[in-house]
Amino acid sequence: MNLTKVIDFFLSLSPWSVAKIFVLLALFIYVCFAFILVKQVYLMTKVLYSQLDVFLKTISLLLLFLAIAIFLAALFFL
Amino acid sequence: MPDLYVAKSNKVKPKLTPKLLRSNNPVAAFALKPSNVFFENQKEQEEILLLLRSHWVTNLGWITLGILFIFLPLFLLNFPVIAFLPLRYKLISLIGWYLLLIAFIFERFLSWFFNVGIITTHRVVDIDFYGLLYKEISDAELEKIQDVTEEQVGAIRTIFDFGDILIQTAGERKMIEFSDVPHPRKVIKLLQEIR
Repeated sequence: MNLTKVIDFFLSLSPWSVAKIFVLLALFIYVCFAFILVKQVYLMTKVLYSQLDVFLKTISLLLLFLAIAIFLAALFFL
Repeated sequence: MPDLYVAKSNKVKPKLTPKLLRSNNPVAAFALKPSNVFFENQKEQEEILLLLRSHWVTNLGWITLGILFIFLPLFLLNFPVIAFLPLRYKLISLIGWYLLLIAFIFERFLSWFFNVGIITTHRVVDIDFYGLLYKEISDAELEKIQDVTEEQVGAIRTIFDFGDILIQTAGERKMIEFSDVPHPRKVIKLLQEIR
C-alpha cells in the first residue's frame, strides 16, 4: 500500500523535479566536501605553519560559503 | 721553503653550510632557511635548514588540465549537447562545473604545498598527505641517518634537475623518501655537512 503511494509519488513528479532533486543532492555532497576541505586545511596548517596559512584558510572558507549559497539558490530558484 | 711541521688547527669545521641564504618565497620548492615556517612538534632550538617540495614541473599536468577545463564550457557551447536544458539548468550546470574545477585545483595545490620534506638542525622530517583524509609524518634524527641515495632517472628529471632522495635510517622507520625534489645533489651535500 505504502509502496504504491511512493511509486505514484515518483511517477507524478515531472522530469525537472527529479532533475532538481539530483542537482540538490550533488550540491549537498559538494557542501559536505567543502566542509571537509575546511577542516583539512586547518589540520594541514597546524602540521605545517607558513605565510600562506591565512590565505589558504580564507579560500577554503569562501569555497564553503559559496557552496552553501549555491545550494540555497538551487533550492529556491531551480 | 716548505714547512717541516704544521700544527694541527684547532678550528672546528662549521657544522652548517655558511652560505645559506634565507628564502622568503612561500611557494618555493627548494627553500633554504624558510622564513615564518614552522612544523608540528618542532623543538625550541631546532631550526629549519631546508624545506623541500616536489619540483614545479610535476605540477604541469594538473595546471594544464585546469586551464583546459576552464575553457571547456565555451567549447561545449558550440555543440548542442546541453541545448535542450532550460536556462536555469544550463546555469547550474555551468556553476557546478566551475565548483568542481575549483575543488580540483585547490585540492591539487594543497596536496603539493603540504607534502614536504624538511631538514632541520636536528633531524629530517617527511610530511605526507594522501588525498584529504590521510596524513603520514615520519622523522629521523641526523645521527640515525645511515645512507643517503639520490635517484634521478629520465630526461625530464635531468633537464630540470630534480629527483628522489632516499634516506636510510636506523630508526623504526627504515626509509624516508623525498620525492621529485629540486637539486638533489645540493640536498645530499647539505646532509653530508650537517651529519
